[in-house]
Amino acid sequence: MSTDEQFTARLRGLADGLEAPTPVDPDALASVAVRRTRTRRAVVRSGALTAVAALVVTAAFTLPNAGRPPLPGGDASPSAGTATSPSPEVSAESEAAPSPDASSLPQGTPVPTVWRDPFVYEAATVPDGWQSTGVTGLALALPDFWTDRPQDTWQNLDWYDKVASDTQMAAMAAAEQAGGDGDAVPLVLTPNVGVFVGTYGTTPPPSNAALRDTNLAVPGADKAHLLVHEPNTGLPGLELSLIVHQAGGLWYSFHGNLPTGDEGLAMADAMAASLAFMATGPEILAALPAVDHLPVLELARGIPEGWTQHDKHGLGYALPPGWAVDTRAFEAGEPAVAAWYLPDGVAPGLDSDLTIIWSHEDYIPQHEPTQGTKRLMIDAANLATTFWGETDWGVDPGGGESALPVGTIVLVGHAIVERADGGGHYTVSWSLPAGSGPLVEQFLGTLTIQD
Amino acid sequence: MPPPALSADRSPAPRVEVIRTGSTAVDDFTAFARAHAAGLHRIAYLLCGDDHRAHDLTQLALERTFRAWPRVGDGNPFAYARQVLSTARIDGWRRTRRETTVSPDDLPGLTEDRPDATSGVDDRERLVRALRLVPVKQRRVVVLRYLLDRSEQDVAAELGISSGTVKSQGARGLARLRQLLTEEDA
Repeated sequence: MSTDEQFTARLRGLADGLEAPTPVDPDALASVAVRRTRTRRAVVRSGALTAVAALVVTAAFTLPNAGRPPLPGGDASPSAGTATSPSPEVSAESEAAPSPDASSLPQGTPVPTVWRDPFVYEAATVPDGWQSTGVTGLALALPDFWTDRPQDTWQNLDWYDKVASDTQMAAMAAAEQAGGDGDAVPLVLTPNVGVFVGTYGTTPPPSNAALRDTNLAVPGADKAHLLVHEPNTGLPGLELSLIVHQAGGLWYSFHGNLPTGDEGLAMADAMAASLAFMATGPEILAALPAVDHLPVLELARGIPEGWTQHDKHGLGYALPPGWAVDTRAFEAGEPAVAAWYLPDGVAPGLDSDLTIIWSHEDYIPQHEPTQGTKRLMIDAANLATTFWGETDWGVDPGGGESALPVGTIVLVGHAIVERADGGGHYTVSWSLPAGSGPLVEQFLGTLTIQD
Repeated sequence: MPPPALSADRSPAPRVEVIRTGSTAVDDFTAFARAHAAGLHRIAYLLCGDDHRAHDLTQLALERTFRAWPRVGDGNPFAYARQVLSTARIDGWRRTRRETTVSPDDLPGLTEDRPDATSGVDDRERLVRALRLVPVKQRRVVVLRYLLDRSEQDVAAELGISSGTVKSQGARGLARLRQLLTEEDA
């Protein structure tokens, strides 16, 4: 046997015994694969209908940007944020409900639908002063003064102690009002619990000796484990990791911060004891949301004359003349970010901007679809959605004073494009002058996924 | 640019027995996933060296396979799924979350019954680390040709490259791997 043969034989021996650290759950993987494929087919079947119907609906809508002069080179197609084409058939598997603002649409107009969690949550045990809540079919109890933060995707929820958070914010604001530094106020960990739901579990490696390290018996779960330990941040409090795998279903990974000492431990125990599944694993898998039912935004593909093509980490795009690289927020050579601006593009002293950020996080921020959210059909993209609308930057929605004059209408929007090859996703965001819908559509028509 | 066309026909890998007893495509596919998800996951892990990414790749391969099930279900779906893995993008992975994936068997308190699996673990971890440092194209060939013991012709067909390229990429990748492992030994 030659040296090479010996070496490769050794390699093969090592590889034969090698396994990835996390075993796969074939049933969950298969279920997700089937589901994604079915919803995709629903879109493919309905795409032609959407294209035809859009011609009719376009004329039926009064566009908020009507009356403003279109940008040079723009067409008259509706912007995704201002009009909607009929929804294609909704996947029979998704639990969908009309979007909240459907009543504002002309009677009889089909509207896109958004996924609503179909489960009603009843925790197994609810201590006094606590409430039942839940995520993706798994109920738990939390203190009733905790509230949930809006999240970008159904897979991630986050609850936090609003009283503690407000107290902290008030202390910082008071310090600043007194002429001090709000950041100098001692930071206290706000008790919170976030959860990631997926086909695999995640847990942070404990950095200190565990105060709880316990397997749990949760009906319907084949794995459940509670880990509580002190943080290595030096801040007071406890870190919680609660991982549950439903038999034939998904992983639920809870991570959070709890009050220090016995109080935090008791809360962790109460949360663990409250866990209860509201349905079987297959039932929950069948109820997962999909955004594939969103209407498709039909676009003219290609690079308009005079535009310049660019690439950011495999996303091809093009921009019209006048746009410059914006180095005020990002390094010009930042591999994952492309930032552009058009000086005074929106108004004198207010630039247009466009930013592309490539990311490969564990989940893709699929913003909850609204009436105006549409799909983009891009080769080699697994999923692509876009939304935009116009807003007055001269009015501070928080009631404060804006530095811009009232009537500074800006078109803001974003597109999220997921590579089908698993190479991450891109978040494209922009702010442009009012009436730039046609320009946005031209820009979106230049997007390509590259190897 | 659309992803490269995949053809199950050009892979002469062993055929997978699919027994049909009036079952549906979903039943057949689920049975296939149960039989082969772990194997696909292992290949994915060898290719990318990252547990999260391997999981995503396995999901991608299964999704594509089910999408093509009417064509490949009666043929060699494993070869098709492996080809998806082999040609998917395996670089560019950037970990942004601090969490690490946990195995149910690695959950504290669940490891007592496991047989001693420490033997060879260090070497395997070194192999995975070293593979990640081999350029992607070379790594694909090394994994398929040498670690999975596929023929030059099979690897060429699977990756859509010539046998000569397989030979040259494999030789360079193997040399690089040997160098990396030797450096670690030193």
